[in-house]
Amino acid sequence: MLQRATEIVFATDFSDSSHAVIPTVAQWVHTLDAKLTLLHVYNPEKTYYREAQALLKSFFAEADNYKHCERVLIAGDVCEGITAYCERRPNILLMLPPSDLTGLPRPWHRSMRARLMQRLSVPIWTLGRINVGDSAPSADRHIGVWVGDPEEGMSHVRQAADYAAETGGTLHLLHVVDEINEGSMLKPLLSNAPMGEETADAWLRDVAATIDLDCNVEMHVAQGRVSRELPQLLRRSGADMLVISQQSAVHPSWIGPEINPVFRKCTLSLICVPYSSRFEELQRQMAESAA
Amino acid sequence: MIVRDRLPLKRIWPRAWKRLLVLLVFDCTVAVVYSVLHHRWISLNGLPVAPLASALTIFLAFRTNAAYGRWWEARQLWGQLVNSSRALALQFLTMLDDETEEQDRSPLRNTLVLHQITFAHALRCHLRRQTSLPEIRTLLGEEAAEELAAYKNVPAALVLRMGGLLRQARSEGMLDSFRWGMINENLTVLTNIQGACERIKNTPLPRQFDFLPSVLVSAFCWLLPLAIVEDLGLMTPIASVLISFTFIAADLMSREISNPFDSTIHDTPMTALSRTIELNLREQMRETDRERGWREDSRQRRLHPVSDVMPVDGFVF
Repeated sequence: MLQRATEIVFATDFSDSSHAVIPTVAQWVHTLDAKLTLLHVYNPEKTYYREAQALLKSFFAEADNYKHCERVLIAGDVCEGITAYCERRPNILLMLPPSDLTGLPRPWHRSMRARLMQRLSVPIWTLGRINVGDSAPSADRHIGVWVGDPEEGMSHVRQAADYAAETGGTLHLLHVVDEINEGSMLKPLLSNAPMGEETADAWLRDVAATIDLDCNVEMHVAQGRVSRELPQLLRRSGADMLVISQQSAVHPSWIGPEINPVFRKCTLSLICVPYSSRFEELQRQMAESAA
Repeated sequence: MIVRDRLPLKRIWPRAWKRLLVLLVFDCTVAVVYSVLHHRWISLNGLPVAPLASALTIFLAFRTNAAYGRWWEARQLWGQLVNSSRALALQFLTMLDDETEEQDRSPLRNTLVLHQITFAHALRCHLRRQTSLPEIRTLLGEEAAEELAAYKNVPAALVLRMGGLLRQARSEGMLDSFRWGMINENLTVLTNIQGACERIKNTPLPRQFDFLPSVLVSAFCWLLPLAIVEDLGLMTPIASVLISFTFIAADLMSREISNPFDSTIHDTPMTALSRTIELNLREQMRETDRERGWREDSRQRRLHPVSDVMPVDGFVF
């Protein structure tokens, strides 16, 4: 799905982080040789159409020189606008930069990215966070895949492997075994995830064996708290892009869905792969068994 | 580059708030320990705060000057690139005797001007560590993009290509040695501009300039409440945080403008300047219809009309 994307939709609010990710967007346009659509959804009660149009025209001005570039302006609610636009289009990669850091607590903040990840059945690129003034990292040759739980399915692993094979990159399968002690037996009972490093290593080997693609695969396992171990695993593996399933990317909270705090701290490219691919995978498996 | 009159505090706040919060807690502690718990020994009333602040200001001024020097030099280099591009395009268009009747071939002089436009875009992308291949593909075609994809330094490769085209023009009798020499001088100017930009990009401020003022600002901010608590009592945190904020803001500001070639709000407006170069050079080629992006008889056709880059939210990129 990722390497089949023929259109990149870059949803922008003209924030600092939108500007900071421009080099990454340009890199993706070049890698996928895709059409670029710059999408801005504005609130007609606050901004005039002409004003929004002038801003959109000047934002990422160099994209005018791209072979296929379109600027789309939609009035209304941001989440609804992006959803309506993306649902009509097949084979797109939606790029959503994170919000600018404000330095102030935002207890009532509802994550738009998390809502879009939940609602849309397209791959979504984003970053955990970006500091104002920093430039965004660009994905290159080392593709990490977060394999959290067997119940998440293998579609995101398969897509990452396809992409790695296509770009000649190395696939890094990453898993962190939860700390287990006498007081926390509930989670292991409810989950099918391996409970020891050796079991996890064997499980990742099985996963790698099912991929059957022409790319280098490396496995990285650690034990401990995910929020502490994952950054170390990423550093150790040298991954510059992390593919995650929709299930692990979004967490429910009492004010609505939010980005998993584990990934929110990452400063590398994140690609969230949707559930719908699981249905595609099921269909493929059914077709194979029928054949 | 910031063109709006006011710089909202939220631009500085994300980088300053942690330091200020810690200082506020420390200031409050000092004020309570001195005024409420009556531990008089905590006061350093004899500390010469004013001379210390003056010395610190000199350090900060040195660094701010150095950072501003880098920022201004970057802007001057891009201004020089605009002028050199116009001069070079003028030379290409008036000095090359390439009168072709073939409709499917654009004159060599126009090809050279397109290379010059591409150079400006490629230099911007090179400095921002961004790929310029999608733009090259549109401006020069697929073949040129494939050839240039092999190079790590695309702007230098473009100058080399221009040199090659000029040699071809000379061998075909479109250009004599004298005119070739004149054009070559301007190509050297382009190479010098690129080299100077790379120097700014790849050489950070001397670490002593960067590190020492930051350490001294921190030391001053920690000592300040101890020096003023005897006079101000419980009002110490307000005065101390305000004075600390001034120094921290000056420290951050000079750090932000010291790197003028990143994709930030403080950098040289390379997108706007490369667009200006493109517009000027296309006008020189008589592609004057901006609404549609090309003239009826123009051989260079564009999908989108080209227009000036306007400030986005008070910032020009």
